[in-house]
Amino acid sequence: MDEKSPQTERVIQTNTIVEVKRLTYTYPKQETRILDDLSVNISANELVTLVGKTGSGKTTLALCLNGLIPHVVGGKVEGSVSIGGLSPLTERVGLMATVVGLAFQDPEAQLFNLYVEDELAFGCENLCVPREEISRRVKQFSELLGLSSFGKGLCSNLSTGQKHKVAIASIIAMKPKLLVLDEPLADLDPLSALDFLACIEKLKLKEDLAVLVMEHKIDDLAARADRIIVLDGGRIIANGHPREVLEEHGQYMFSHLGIRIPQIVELAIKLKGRGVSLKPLPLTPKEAFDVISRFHPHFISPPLEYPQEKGETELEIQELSFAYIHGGKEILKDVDLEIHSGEFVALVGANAAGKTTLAKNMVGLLKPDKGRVLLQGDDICKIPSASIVKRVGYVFQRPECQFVRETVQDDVSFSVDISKESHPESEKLAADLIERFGLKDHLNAPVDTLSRGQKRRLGIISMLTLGQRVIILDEPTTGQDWRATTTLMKLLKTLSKETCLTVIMVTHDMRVVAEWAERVLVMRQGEIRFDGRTKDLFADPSLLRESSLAVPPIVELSDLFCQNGASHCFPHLSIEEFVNSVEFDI
Amino acid sequence: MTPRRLLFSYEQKNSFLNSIDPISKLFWVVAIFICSLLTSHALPQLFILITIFLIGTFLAKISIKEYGLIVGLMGVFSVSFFIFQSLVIGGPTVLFRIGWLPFSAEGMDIAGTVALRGLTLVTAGRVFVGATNPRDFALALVQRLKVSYVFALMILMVLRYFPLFEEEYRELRDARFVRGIQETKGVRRIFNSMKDYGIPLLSRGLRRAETTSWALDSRAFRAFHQRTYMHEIGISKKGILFVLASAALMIIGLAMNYCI
Amino acid sequence: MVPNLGFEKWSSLEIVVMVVIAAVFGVIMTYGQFLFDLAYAAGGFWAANLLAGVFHTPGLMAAYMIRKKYTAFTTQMLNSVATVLLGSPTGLNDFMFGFLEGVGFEAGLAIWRYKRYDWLSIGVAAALSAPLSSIWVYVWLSLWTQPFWSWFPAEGLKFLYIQPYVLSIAVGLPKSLEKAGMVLPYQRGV
Repeated sequence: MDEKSPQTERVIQTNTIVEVKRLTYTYPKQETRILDDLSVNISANELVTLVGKTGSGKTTLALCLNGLIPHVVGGKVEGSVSIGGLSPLTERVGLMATVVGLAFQDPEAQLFNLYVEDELAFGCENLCVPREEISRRVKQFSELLGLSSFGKGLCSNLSTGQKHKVAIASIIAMKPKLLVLDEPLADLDPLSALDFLACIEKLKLKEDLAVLVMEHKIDDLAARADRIIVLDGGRIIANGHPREVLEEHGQYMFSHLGIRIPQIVELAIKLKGRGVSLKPLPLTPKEAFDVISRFHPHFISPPLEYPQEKGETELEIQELSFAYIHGGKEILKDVDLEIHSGEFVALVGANAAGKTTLAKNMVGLLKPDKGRVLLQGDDICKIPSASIVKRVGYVFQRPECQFVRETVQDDVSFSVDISKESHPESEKLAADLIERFGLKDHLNAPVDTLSRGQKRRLGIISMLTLGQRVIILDEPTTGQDWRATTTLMKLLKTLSKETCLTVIMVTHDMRVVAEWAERVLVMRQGEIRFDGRTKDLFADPSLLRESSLAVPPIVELSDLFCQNGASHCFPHLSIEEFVNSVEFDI
Repeated sequence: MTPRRLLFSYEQKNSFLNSIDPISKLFWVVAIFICSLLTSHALPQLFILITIFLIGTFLAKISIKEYGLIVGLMGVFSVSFFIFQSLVIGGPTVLFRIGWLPFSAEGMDIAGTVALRGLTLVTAGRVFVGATNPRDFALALVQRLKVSYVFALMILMVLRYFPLFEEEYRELRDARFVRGIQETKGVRRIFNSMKDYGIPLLSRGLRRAETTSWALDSRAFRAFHQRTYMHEIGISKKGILFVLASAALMIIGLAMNYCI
Repeated sequence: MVPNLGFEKWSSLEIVVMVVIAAVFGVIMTYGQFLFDLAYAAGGFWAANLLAGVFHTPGLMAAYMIRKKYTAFTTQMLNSVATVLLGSPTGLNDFMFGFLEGVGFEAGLAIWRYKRYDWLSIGVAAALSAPLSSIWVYVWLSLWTQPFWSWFPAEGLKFLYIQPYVLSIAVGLPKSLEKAGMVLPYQRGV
């Protein structure tokens, strides 16, 4: 550490908002320490990202910082914590709320009032802030977070991302010294996530806040954070500048902790394996371009792709139009498309483009106002619902809502019982799927105890057991770590190849689209604006921009090379593709 | 008919009744309530009903269609009650018969009073709810009637969660469809609905309750004995005048009742 | 104006649990009221009271889960105020029903000095709420003008009709949640 004058030292100490010393915690009636001898400091104007896999102690630490642990949750705690001079271990939660603002992952659990403006004022009112000051803060922070137009509106009419912003604005209006955000990006689409992070950065500077963000998805955060702290087994294994931490621990974070590190960092790790060491470690496509260019890369032509024979038509949509209210605004307008057996299709678009509405029409949850949906040649409106569910499955974004039994085994057996008559192999199929999807050891577990990724896989098994040839997945990657995401995608891809299962996924995650989907449907304002190969989509940046779709960093990097005249350059959709097609003149 | 339209009946309108304070409206509706209970003849009850209907139509801008749904249903109850009770309550003055069933003037007067009372209470309630912002009502309870803020917040939270549970109900219904569960038909469906929907909704809500309570505490809920309010709900002069005018109409109604 | 019912003694979790129960039952009851009125039209009190159990459940469920004084009354009032504000078909009557049913619940639980929460105590509390709610039915329908036989048997037996529904939901559901691993508020020792 540099020699510092006493004055500087005092300044640093004054700026330190959070001081955690040797914090150890065990939940009530448990033996294992969830936090083990943890020490960390955070200063004002710092954005610190705390990463770790599920169960590593991130949320537990958050609860320790505002006093919910130990005053509400209980348990055994040792060590000391100080936030702005107050100790949450001794002061009551209400008083800690004056210095710590804690936002949880589920926005529905954090909004208590009918109207947005009342929600924004709620915390201030509880702190006895004078009325004029409350109004001023409500106005200030709703403007800062882009919520001004929602002020007089109902909280229930907001989107998930907007609800999150309202919860955070309400907390910030209380003027805390530390803002703790527990997985704020989990349910946000990429563009909303970027917008959200930009707001947090602005707030941090304007309000002199210390910000602690807990996430397992840091591809957007890494470039913005001042520091990354890695938690593993309740202990801090890394604490430093993102570049340093990712350089030293990136591989471990990715492969062992399942953390979604920036795609560019993943690329750097892969290139290191080829003897190309990128220093300083790039975090963004532009940085990667600058660093990689020093090695004089050139690209090999991609292998020729032969058009594949299309399978049978599984799903056909003819001139489909749909409005939720009869005579009201059309959500779908004259949609035409054909989906064939064995295809792996991504259905993408900005919020409110009509993706989920189209997906629900495909499965008979909604009936078209005009046009037809044909399932294996039969009009979906004319076949009984019992027949529909045996042909096409739908896995909800929250798979827990479709479990009908208490345990894994029972829930799968439910589907087996329904399909036994028409599909005698269903029991064998179920057993096979359970094995492949890694749930064999959880057969007797209550469904509520499964992780999000496991729940999603169970949801898929319960669908496919019915013998369906088409499966539709609504946001299958939301709230999952990267390892769970890639596992799921690999399984689906394999099934698709082996059994000609048609997979349609509604998603915002363009990185998943780039790496796994063969065909993409881009929706905008209820119409299909693009229907073609994934490669062709990413070769058209204007379409991506118009449709408010995020571009995966690897595609952006390829684009930079292409724009700068690299030979045989083409949009690379995955790290593997880039690494396999690049050569260096070192 | 979609019962869903019942939910959340308040609408922001530019009407006289929307502009007066919730306490005045509460006094008005309580006065109607008491008056209606004290009335023992059909004609004054009808007078009260018509008064409310006119207030709702002209001072609260409630359309016939908006009345129709709620009042229509109570109408079903009222009509059936009227017919049944007219037959059950006898009287010396038989006005007409249907077959051997006598309908007496006394019986119809009493049955009519009660039937109209039901319509009166529902209509008054509809007008009150349609013209009163629930947030303002909850705040008025706290600031004017000294009801605990905790109870007022609980009311607001219940209203806040209604659309959420509605959405979750629809999601459950869709999920049951994709799992191939056939909904029971007829009367059994009513009894199964608690098991099929009520229980999952309750379970979900209760599982979320812990995080919600943590979030409340983290927002300094009940951190201090006092709290301030961004909105202040007073009692308006217009409101007082409205209450006085309504009281006069009620007195006329009661006078009619006692003169009969 | 309103007596302090011990709001300060309830934890935030208990408050939220009461809200959730009131909200879910509010949705059920607002739709259920339609069916109740249709049932009355079809078969008078005898038919309608078969569905009455649902109206007597929220307060008792909250009491079973939280086990503190006045939780039953508060939840029932919360439910009735919310259903009025949501435009319930019975309008302001809901408020009176909620109040009287809540009083009945508290009377029933007070018999055991709020120390017993099981099938028996909840059943008795439900049974006591039935005649109290019948008082309001008596008043607003002016039942004194009508022959005893036309309403008393159906209303008089309401305390029996409501038992299966109340007990299976107010006691049965929390028990099954407990079996599934949920820790009920009263078990948290707050």
